[in-house]
Amino acid sequence: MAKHSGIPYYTKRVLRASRETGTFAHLLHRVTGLLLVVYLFLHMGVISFTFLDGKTFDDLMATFSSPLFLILDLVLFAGAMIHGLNGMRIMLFDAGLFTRKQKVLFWVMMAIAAITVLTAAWLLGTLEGWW
Amino acid sequence: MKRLVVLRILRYNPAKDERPGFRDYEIEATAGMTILDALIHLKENVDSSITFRRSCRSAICGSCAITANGKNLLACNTQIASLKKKRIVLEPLPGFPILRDLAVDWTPFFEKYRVVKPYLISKSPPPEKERIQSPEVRKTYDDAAKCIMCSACTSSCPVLWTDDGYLGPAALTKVWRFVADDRDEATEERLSLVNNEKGVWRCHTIFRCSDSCPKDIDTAGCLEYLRKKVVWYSLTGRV
Repeated sequence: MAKHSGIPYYTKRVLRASRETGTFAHLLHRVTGLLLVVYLFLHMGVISFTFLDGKTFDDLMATFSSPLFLILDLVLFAGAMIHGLNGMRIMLFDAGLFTRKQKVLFWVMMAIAAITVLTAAWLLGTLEGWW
Repeated sequence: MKRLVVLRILRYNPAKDERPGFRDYEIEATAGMTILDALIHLKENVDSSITFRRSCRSAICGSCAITANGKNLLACNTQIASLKKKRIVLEPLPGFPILRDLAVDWTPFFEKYRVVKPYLISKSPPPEKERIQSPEVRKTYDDAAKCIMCSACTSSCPVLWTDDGYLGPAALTKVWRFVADDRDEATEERLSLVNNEKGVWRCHTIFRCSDSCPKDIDTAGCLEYLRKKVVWYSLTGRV
């Protein structure tokens, strides 16, 4: 009997269907969710360095102020915005609203996320004197 | 006008084949030719072993639901020209065991359908004539009442591809159909049945069910209305 369920079956088919807006939103929500969970644990790990001595923590903070980490911060912010706004989109559906307009609503939310992230990037660049 | 189209069909005979495999069939698609017309033409003229389900040929019975180019649809009301492709990949509905070629085993689908009691439950004695219902109330479940049980929504749901126990969009839409119907008197019973992790709370709001419905039912929407009802009844201590 041919396989018709299970994680590999799901993965293969969901990736194939990712051109559809709803499935793409579902995938993006999971990927950004995982990113945020990984970040949360890294964050807790870094914060725990304060238990050692002040200098180690200050050195770490100096490293995190380098342009590479600031750009990574922006990626994190983008992930949080996408996850949060898509979460709000799903909450609207749970309230029984816009279920017939889910595709448009997804792109509206992504446009808001893009504007917010670009604004944050511009502010960051201005504060750091990049331009 | 005729157009040369390749139908790539997933062939599988469990008695002979170890796993399913694709086979290509070239066909001259005429104007207005549906996928079902093409399949019937192939079965009658090219390869009589091709297996598929069909009955009414007018999008009412729901027998001919298949996957064409990754999308679940009815073969009888989808014209080849509407797909705008020179190669059309035809597969059996995902998420169900394949019986042979394009025919799947619908047992899991109908088992879940029976679980939700898809019939009117009335505890009060029947009136002299019919049970009256206002057009306004009828309108609230117009969408859900259009279901032809083709299983295109249920089989397209990615949640069901990992969780066989999930009731699925078709069964839950049917629950909404009766919960919204004011002649039905088993609302609490129905809501209790779906208020769990295998019911309304298993849905991830992916919208593949609504996208694939050949009757344009807002399946995901029906499920969301059901969720709202469950929450309201839970808050007021009725389920």
